Amino acid sequence: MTTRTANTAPYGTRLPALLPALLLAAASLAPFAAQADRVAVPMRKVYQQECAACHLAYPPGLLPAASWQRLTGNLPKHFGTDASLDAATLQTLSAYLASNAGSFKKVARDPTPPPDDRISRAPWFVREHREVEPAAWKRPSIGSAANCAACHTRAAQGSFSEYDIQIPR
Amino acid sequence: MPGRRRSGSRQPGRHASTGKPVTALAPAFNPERFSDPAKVEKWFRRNCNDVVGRECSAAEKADVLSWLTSLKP
Repeated sequence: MTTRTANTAPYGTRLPALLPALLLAAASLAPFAAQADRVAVPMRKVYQQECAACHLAYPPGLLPAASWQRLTGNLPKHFGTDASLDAATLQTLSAYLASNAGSFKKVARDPTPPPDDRISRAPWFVREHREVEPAAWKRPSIGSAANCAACHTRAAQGSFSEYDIQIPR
Repeated sequence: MPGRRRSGSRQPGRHASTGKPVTALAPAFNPERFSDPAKVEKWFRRNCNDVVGRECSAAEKADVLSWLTSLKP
């Protein structure tokens, strides 16, 4: 058993050593930690209406501008289906996506377009979800990695906080 | 069988790929359906391209519509 020696350093010099630990604790308790990584940006209603009819309105910050540009330029061939829009709506949405693209800190750090322009194939996504067993994605309650809301219960509100995850059976 | 629902249930259907709930198409079950012409044209354009590889003719659209409006509770 080791004997503990009393910390005999004067009080004024102890605080700097504790400070990083205190700041770290404070940051993890911050109520706005979810917004701190800049996933949620103002969600335009037209984006919700047009792009959440079939799937979640993916936060624009999760893809780099180059990906959004390719996606909006190829809507008639959108992952196997025709998702085409009228010219005016398309222009509005393209502008909205371009100006809010890549704001998520992990995309900002590396704006390389993911394979197929799929969020779920970006290296940061794969790493974030590395603890999910491959078979889980195929559960009827989940379907695929594109179905964020299956496990991220507040995805529709732009929140992907760990505290809100419930993985269904 | 996955996706089978009990008869008489009012559960929404689900998108075949994404699983997103899709509310009833028949106006008798969902009064807002077919109330917005632009929306109707948009979905006819997309769905016809997906299913038959081209735009549907006016007669084909009318057939779809008359079948859907014939469905009553």
